[in-house]
Amino acid sequence: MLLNCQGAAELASEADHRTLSRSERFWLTLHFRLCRCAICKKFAEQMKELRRAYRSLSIRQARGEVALDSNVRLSDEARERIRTMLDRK
Amino acid sequence: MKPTPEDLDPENWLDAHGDILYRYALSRVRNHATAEDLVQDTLLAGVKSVDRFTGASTLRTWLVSILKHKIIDYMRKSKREFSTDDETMGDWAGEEYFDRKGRWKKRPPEWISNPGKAYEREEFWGVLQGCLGKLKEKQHTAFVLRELEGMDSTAICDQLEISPSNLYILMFRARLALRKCLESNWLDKNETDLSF
Repeated sequence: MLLNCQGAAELASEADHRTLSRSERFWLTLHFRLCRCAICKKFAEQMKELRRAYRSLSIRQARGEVALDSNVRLSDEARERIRTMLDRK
Repeated sequence: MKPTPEDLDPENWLDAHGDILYRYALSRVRNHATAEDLVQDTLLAGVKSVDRFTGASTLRTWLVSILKHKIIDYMRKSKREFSTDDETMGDWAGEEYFDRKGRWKKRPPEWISNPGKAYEREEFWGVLQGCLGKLKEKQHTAFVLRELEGMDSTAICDQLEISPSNLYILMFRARLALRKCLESNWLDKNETDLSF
């Protein structure tokens, strides 16, 4: 199972979803070592870093800590409609 | 911290948490009307089950967790409306990166080599939101559930009724497409900061 660069990138992405088999891990590591420009390894690392960034931003957004989109608000109409619904309860 | 009676009064929820819930919903469903409906459903569900709020988390965290369930529910119900375009091979970011033999066409830029700095910034969230907006529906849904909600892959396959290999492909494409978009919208503006 000799991997090309695209195959290696796909497998690195899949590793987020399932445990790779022993042979898959072997070929991936081998590919990372052989891929002369080391792009593949870097690419896989960047994918992981981005994943961490997405999660941390998501958690901060849930806490209301990400202020950038603070201009995004419920419209007055929506607010009124929801208030009416809540009052009925 | 024990919730105050004011915290628990649903009269105050809309003003105190409405916008946060709305932003959270909008960033995941990409549609204003749907996001508004989700906020409404969340607050109504909260009112109904306020007795079950133990105060173990903050009220906002509790409301967000209700909203998460509503979002996942919405995504499960809307999965049948996915466009078939999502399944086609053409027009995916991979062609930008790889040639027919699966070799790199160009070297991806040296970016994000310092995770602590670059995208802890809030601007990154804005750029990411814009890029997420460009993903195809099915990729977007899978991506949101996995990367933003941190949902288990098996659960995503169940929810969306897709096979694991289908999910892997969707996610790979979503990741490449986002990367490409981030490269042109984030890297260009912040090149000096990122070239370390």
